[in-house]
Amino acid sequence: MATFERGDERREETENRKQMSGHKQKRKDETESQTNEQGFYVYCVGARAALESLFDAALPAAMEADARLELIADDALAAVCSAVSLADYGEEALQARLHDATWTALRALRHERVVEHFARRASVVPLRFGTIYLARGGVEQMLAERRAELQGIIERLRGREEWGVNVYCDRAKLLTQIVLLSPRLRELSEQAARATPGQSYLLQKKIEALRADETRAAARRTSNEIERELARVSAGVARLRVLKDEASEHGDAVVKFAFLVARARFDDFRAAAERLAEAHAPAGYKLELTGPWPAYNFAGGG
Amino acid sequence: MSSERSSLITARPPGLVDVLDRILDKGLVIAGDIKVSLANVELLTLQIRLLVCSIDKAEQIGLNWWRYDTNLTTRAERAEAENVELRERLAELEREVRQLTAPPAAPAPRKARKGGASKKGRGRIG
Repeated sequence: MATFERGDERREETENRKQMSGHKQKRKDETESQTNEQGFYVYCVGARAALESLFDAALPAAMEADARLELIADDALAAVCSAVSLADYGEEALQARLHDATWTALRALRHERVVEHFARRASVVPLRFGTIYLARGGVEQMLAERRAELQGIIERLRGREEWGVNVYCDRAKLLTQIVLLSPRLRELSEQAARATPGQSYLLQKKIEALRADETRAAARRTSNEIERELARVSAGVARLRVLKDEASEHGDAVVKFAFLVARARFDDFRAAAERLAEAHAPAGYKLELTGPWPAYNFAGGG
Repeated sequence: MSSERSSLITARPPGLVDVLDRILDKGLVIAGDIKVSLANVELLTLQIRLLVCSIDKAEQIGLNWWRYDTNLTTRAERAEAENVELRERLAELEREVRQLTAPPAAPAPRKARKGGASKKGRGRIG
C-alpha cells in the first residue's frame, strides 16, 4: 500500500532529476533522493477535537528541528506526528542510530516532551518510542483500524495521570537496623563478641549471610506494603524494572512503581505516600514521587 | 518551605532514567512501517544509564533545556547549540561506555574499575 506510493514518488523524482542534470550526476542524485524521503513519527493519539484545539496555541519542538508537529486525523481520532527523514529513521538507519546512546537519549527526551505537553491538556494514549509510518495514509489507516481499542484507552485514562514512586534504601542503615530488630542476629553478635578469634570469624560469616537474607526480606515486606497502601488510592499499579546495583544520590533503588491516579484523588495519594515515607524513614528508606507522567505504563490495550 | 516538612523527595525534573525507562520500554506498542527491533534494548538501557549520570550532571550546571525550556520551535537554534555542547561533553563518556561494554560476556561493566579513572579524576560513572 503506502510503500508503492512512496516507491513511485521516488522513481518519478529520480527521473526528473536525471533529465535535469544528466547522467554524470546520477549517483549523487540517488543518494539525495533517498535522504529526502520522509516518514511520519507518531507520538500519541487522542480525540481529534481535543487535539485540534491545542494546535492553536504554542507547541513543543518536534523530534527534529526541521519539522513541526502536525495532526494526522481520522474521523474521531487524531495522531500527533512530525515528519522525519528516513536517512535517520529508515529501518536500517534507525537500528544503527539506536546503538548511539546519546542520539537515542536525546530523541527519547524530545518524545517525552511532546507527549507530556498533550497529556497535560487532553486524554492521550502515549506510544512507545519509534512508531514510524512511511505515509500519512498509514497513520490514518491505523487510526481507523484500531479505533475501538484506542478510544477505550483514551476513556480509561481520562482524568488520570501516572505517578512514579521510587523506593530507595540506605543499605548500611538498613543492615544496622536489621541487627537491632532481629533477636537471632543480636544473639549471634553477642556470641561473636565473646568467642575466640577463630570461632568469631565463622560466626561473622554466618551473621553476614543472615543479615543479607533478613534485609532482603524486610525490603520485600516494605515494598509490598507501599504497593498495597498506594493501590488503595489509585486506579492501577505497575512495577518498573530495577537494574541490579541501581544507585542514586538517594541510595540503592529497592523498587519502582507506577500508579495511575485520578487527578481528583491526587491529594489522598500524596498524603498516603507521605505517611509511608515517614513511617519507613527510620529504617533507612526514602520515597521519591515523580510525575505527573503521561500514562505510559497504563497505555496497553488490556 | 513546605518541601522541607515533606518526607517525600519530589524530583522535579524527574531523573532521566525514569524518563527513558518509560519512553523506550512502555507506552502503547503500535507496529508502524518501520520495524524497530528492541532486542538490544537492555544494552542500550545500560549505556544510557551510564550516560544519564553525566546528563544529570549537565543538568545541574544548567544544560537543562529539555525540561525547563518551553522550547517553542523558535528556540530550536539555541537548543541545537546546547545540544552540540552536550554531545561534546558526552563524547568522552561514551567512549568509556563503549570500552566497558565491549566484551560480550563480561561481568557487569561497572565493576571494571581498573583504568576507569577519568582524566579529571572525578565524576565516576555508576
